[in-house]
Amino acid sequence: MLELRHVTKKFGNNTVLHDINLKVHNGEVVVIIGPSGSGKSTLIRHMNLLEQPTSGKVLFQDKIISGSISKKAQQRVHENIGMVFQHFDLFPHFTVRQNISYAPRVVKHLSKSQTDRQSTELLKEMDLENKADAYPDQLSGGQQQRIAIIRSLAMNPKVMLFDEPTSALDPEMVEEVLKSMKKLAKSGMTMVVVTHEMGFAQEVGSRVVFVDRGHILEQGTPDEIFHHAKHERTKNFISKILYT
Amino acid sequence: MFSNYSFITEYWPLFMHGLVTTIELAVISIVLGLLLGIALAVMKMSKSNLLSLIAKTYIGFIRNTPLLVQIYIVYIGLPQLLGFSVNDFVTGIVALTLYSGAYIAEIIRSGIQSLPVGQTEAAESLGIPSYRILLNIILPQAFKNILPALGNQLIGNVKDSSLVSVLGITDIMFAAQTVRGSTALGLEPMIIASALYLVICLILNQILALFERRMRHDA
Ligand SMILES: Nc1ncnc2c1ncn2[C@@H]1O[C@H](COP(=O)(O)OP(=O)(O)O)[C@@H](O)[C@H]1O
Ligand SMILES: [Mg+2]
Repeated sequence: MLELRHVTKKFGNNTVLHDINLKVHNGEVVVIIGPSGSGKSTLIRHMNLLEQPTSGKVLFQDKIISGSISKKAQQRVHENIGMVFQHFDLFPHFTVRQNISYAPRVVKHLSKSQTDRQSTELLKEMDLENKADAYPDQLSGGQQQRIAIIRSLAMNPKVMLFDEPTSALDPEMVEEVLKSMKKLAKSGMTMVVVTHEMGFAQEVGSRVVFVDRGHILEQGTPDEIFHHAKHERTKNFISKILYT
Repeated sequence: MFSNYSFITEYWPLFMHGLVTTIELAVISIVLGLLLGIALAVMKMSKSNLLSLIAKTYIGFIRNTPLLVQIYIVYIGLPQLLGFSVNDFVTGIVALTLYSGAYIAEIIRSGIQSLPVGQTEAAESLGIPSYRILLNIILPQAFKNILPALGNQLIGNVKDSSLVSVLGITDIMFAAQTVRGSTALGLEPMIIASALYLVICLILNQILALFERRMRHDA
């Protein structure tokens, strides 16, 4: 469904990704782990046009989406691939409902009654229906991140990308966000998740990818990577996130 | 020696007319300057090197040449450019708009750049078209941050507008000059003029402070 083919990325002289090959299949939950600065964000941002490869290709549903593609092709990517960021990035001057409904309204041209119905439904599923008229700064971090997930889901994407969705949260709020993500994974959503939450990876991850200094050093099932890693660097990293 | 203010009764209507003209000049030029400033800020930040260079050059020219020179350039150049004569008030508006637009562009640019880049990225990843990202996501947030600076620019426009009296626009300054010419009084009409400018600017300051407080409560 999503594919990076020989992707190399340089910022100036700094090569951040080296010849990355990664395929994400329909219904898979791919978990990306790796040390800070290893290129995880840069990698995932290639999947929805926020970064362009210096060389190599990015494909979505077997069509090339990297390089200069038409506005229509870009639109197809944005409508089908949602992204949730570390810092939520809700629109602070919009209410929760406006945050959720704005893109469906202006991109998909849904009517107000359609988006109202949709946002109510999504909020109910997340137990946030009483927050529809609140502004983001009146919500906890965990609530904001769940609203950000809903905002992406409102576009009916086929793939959801998450870049460290819980790492800016207070510890007591991590679980509620992970719970929503697990629910989404179990509903069959294709997901790519940069996270160090091993519980999440163990429970719903189809595959864990270890990124190190811009290379995919190894990948495998959660069990293979967490308990039977082949590389010393992987083992070191895993033991670090396990015991800190 | 500063006691001869009997001219006021005769010239009061002229000063009041000047007051209205000054306010019109400042308000119209700040509104148009805002539109120009938005366009220039967007150009300067655009990916197109050409657009960015045009905006940079323009802003650099305005900020590094005296307003009075710019007023004369517009006064002489505008009719040549258009091929017909332009009324003085319009000339004054154009000059003040071109001038304040460059400063407002810099205000807006810093307001936009102070926002987290995640706002644009989140909006892009939802497929929101870029003009809507600018108009509905970025600018409303930027305006909240730059309102004080825009207020100062409005006050600046009130004061700077005094220069366009050289074109014969009947603003406060023009009224003062007229009185000077026809009564042989020196300082007194200028004192009246400065009092009128002072009153406008102090009232504007109050209104702006009120606005800011309101905005902060809304947030
Ligand atoms: N826009 C950018 N410009 C220059 N360097 C960047 C940019 N984005 C990321 N980098 C660099 O790329 C490297 C990888 O960053 P990133 O992908 O954010 O890593 P991670 O998400 O794994 O922490 C870092 O050295 C970072 O400084
Ligand atoms: Mg990162």
